Amino acid sequence: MEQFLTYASGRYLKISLLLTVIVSIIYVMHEPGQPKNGGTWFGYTIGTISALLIVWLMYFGRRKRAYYSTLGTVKGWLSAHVYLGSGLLVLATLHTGFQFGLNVHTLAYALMCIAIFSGFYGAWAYVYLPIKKRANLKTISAEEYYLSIEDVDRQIIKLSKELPAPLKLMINSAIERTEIGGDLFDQLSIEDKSCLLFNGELYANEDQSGCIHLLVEELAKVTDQQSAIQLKQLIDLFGRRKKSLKTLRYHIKTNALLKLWLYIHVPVSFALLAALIVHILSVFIYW
Amino acid sequence: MTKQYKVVVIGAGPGGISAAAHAAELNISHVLLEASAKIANTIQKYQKGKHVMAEPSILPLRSPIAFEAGKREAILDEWQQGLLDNKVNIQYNAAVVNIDGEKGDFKITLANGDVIQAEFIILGIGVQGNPRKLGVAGDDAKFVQYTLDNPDDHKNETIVVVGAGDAAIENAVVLANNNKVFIVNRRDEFARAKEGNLNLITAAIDNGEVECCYNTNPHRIELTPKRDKPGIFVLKTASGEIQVPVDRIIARLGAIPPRALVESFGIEFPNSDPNSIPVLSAKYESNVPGIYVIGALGGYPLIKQAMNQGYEVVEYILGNDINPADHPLLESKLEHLPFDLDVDQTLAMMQTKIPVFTPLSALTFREVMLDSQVHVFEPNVEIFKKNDYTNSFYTILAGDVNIVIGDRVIKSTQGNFFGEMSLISGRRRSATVMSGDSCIVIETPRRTMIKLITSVDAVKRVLDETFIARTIQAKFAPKIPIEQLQPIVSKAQLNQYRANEVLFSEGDEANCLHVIRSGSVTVSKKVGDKNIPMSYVAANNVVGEMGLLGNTVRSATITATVKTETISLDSDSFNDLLAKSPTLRETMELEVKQRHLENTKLELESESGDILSFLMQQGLGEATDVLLINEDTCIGCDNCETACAATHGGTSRLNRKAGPTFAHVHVPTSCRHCEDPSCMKDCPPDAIHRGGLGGEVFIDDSCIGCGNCERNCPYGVIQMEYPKEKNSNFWNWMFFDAGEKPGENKVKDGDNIKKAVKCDMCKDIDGGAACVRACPTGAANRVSPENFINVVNL
Repeated sequence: MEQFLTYASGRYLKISLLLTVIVSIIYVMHEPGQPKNGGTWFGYTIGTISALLIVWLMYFGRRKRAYYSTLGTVKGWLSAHVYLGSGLLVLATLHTGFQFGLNVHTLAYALMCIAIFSGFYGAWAYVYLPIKKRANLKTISAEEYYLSIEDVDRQIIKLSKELPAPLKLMINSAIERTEIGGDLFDQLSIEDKSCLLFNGELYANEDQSGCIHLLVEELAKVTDQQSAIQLKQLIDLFGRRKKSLKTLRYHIKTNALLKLWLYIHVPVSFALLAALIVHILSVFIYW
Repeated sequence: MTKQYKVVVIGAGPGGISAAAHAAELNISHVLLEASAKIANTIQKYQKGKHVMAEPSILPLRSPIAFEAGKREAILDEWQQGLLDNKVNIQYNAAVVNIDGEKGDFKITLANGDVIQAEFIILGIGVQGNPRKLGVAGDDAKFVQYTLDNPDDHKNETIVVVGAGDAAIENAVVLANNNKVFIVNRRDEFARAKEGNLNLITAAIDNGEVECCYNTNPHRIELTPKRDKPGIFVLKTASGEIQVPVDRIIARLGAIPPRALVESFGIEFPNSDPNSIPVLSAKYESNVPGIYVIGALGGYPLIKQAMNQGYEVVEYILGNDINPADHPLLESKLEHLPFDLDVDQTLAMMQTKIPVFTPLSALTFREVMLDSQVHVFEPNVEIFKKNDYTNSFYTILAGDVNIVIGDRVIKSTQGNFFGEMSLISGRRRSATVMSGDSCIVIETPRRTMIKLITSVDAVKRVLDETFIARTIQAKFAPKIPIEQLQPIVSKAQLNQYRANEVLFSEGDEANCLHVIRSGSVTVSKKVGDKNIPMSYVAANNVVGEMGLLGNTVRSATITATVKTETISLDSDSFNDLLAKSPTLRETMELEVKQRHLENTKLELESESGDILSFLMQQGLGEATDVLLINEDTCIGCDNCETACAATHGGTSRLNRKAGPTFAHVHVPTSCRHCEDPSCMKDCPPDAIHRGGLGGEVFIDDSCIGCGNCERNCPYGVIQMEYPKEKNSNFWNWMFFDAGEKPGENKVKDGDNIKKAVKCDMCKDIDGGAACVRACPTGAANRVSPENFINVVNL
């Protein structure tokens, strides 16, 4: 099925390429009789085009939420947003005439670059992260992983009922103190901060290994067959738990990455809009 | 002493209380017998504070008892008051076990042995039935109950819940919060329960909140008035008897349908179909003279209808020939017709002119006409178009119509019918129909016709025969008149298959072909020792012709994906057809060639086949249009859900995260617009329809919030929701934080009821499905089963 990058056989890629090539040729050809920058007739032209393009690119946020709109599809708009946004990089750079300084004009340009490059990351993320996400989940959905953990927990609690009290408490604490998700940093680092209580002391339980370790130790000690079978089953269940948790941690991280870049892209775009207004006003006032 | 009455009303539901009150008002000697301790059993069982609707709103109420839409409690109070005000003679806990005698001298025997004499009997016992009793010694004890009104009334009790269904589980789990609860299950698992309830009860048992006795039967109940628990419940387990001292026993064992009881009174049903209703005259009289049937038992499930019937039936008993309350509705429906006849005469004329309606009783036909529309067409008007998704049934009252199949036009005249193909298969129209000269047709909705087919055998037979004849003609011999096909038609067979039943297997001898009449099948081939599905074949297509043409063995296995009906033709009949129409072999061979090509398109890769079987397992074999999400491109932004909510009053009708996934295909919880929708089966106000162009199944504004469709949908795609406020303007939200986010509307203030909402395929929105149009990466797509192959072969 068609992707946003290949939408309408790359219609907006072609438009964007054509636009930037034409503009670049004119930039090279024209001889304004003064330094090439935003102040020439051509500089004004591409400046105006770029400013309008920025406003239109930002309008994507509205179109995405205009659920009754029949003006194309959001997929088509995203395709145009990505390719014309990329074209903007060329247009605006030529508009600067490669004159940079410590001023509001260069600030606007820098903000624009941040917005565009974060957008590049976003486009990459939108194409590749879902595939990685799926490969991680294998054939079932994240919801099904959560359900399977719930199921495993139920079985663990049932099995642990007949164990000696310290072990039972340890197992309960291992389940209760399992950490997944958390704040943004936790989500991205996928560090397992799970822990457990054993004989009144707190131990780390990364990848459920603490718990499994204690159960294995207990297994070495028991002599009757019944308890041995039970402990083996418990170890097995914690093994399954560990696997599902690991898959979900990676899933949560990928989901965070899919959203994270927008927290740069969108605010920077608004900052760019503000800087752009200042840039335009100051150019006209100090002319 | 035997008491004697002119009228005995059995069942104090809406119909019964209305009849009894009208009899009381007219000073007729009467008694109203109610098996339970309260009036209106079915309504009593509604949850507290439930809003009861008074549909159909155009129908006037005709009863001495008041009824307006409102809260369950207010309505019940008002009815109770109405019974008092009218001085109705009501007898509670009076279950009728037998009726003997005849009109003028009936003898009614009650469960306690009393006998009551009656001249006329009005039967309004509904269809819910009485709860199934425990059936053990001592089950009449005070602490044995069959319903649970308010779980908060019980604290610190020992309660045994008997049963393994949803009601038993729900009761046990909620009571476990404040009580010691046992649940008694005859079997070793909770096989009948819904998934959600199964999880609830397993969790409760694992956590020790509920103690479960598997493989256990109730044995007897002993009263122990001198101890602190009023009784002992003796249970028989696999390992012997156990005794549980109890405060309360709640038995949730389902209900006994009232049909057997009604039949024991001598009242006949037309066939064994559980949905069929007794045959009644236009005056609600059954085949037993003097016994009248009203309300849901007689096929009228709405409260207002039943109350009107209660009034009318008393008038009929008195010999007053009043018009039914729905008379004005029929009058307005028929007034534009060019006949100089009154309503009853028009209806009678229709029944004589249209053979398919002739076997109906006058009352049944009246009901059919209440649901139907009569159209008077100018010549050459399109009645429906080929590939339309409509599915109503048409009969020709006068003039003729032209049926356009390809380049041929067939004339059909007065008394004939058309549109039965889509009615039965649930698929699109197979031909275009234009009106002819002086054309008057009756259009009957699908729901009404389905009800008719299940209750009147003659109608089913005529429709089936015509369907087979027309299918054979359309598929194999379009140039041959139907009369000449009759010998073949009479040999054709109608077959029914359950889901996953095999029609024929690879390697079998090829002896017949199947035309799929409803449902769908998958074609699979053996690769190694595994059966790999290769394609999906929808209704109205042919399977098995490859084997017949080649006169060989079957090259693939055909399996029904859902409940499927086919028409089968044996090889002799098929050879007859080949001889009759010389071009048939050629066209069939062409079709076979195409099928071969299609099959190779789906390479015999194990994953593709697995995805196809996954889709079939999700019940998509009965879908006509389903939302699928490609997990390889879904970024999880939920813009599809927000789009749905924003365009549908703030409630998303799809749940992206929920639902199963296999490989890259995710089936979110969202309506798949089934071919034969389960939700439509039991909608009292008939608010669920199948749409025109897209075939969408949607719910209109007349929903009364009963929740039947939510319960009947096997895929959980219908929700009960409060109406919500309109959202503020986007820019106001964006810049001034005014109002709610798009798609997150506030629930409306005031006394509103929850109504059923579901996907309507954005039928009222320009541009089509909002979820698909709002997806930024193209992951969300609506797909019809014919195109599943494209999804699988990404």
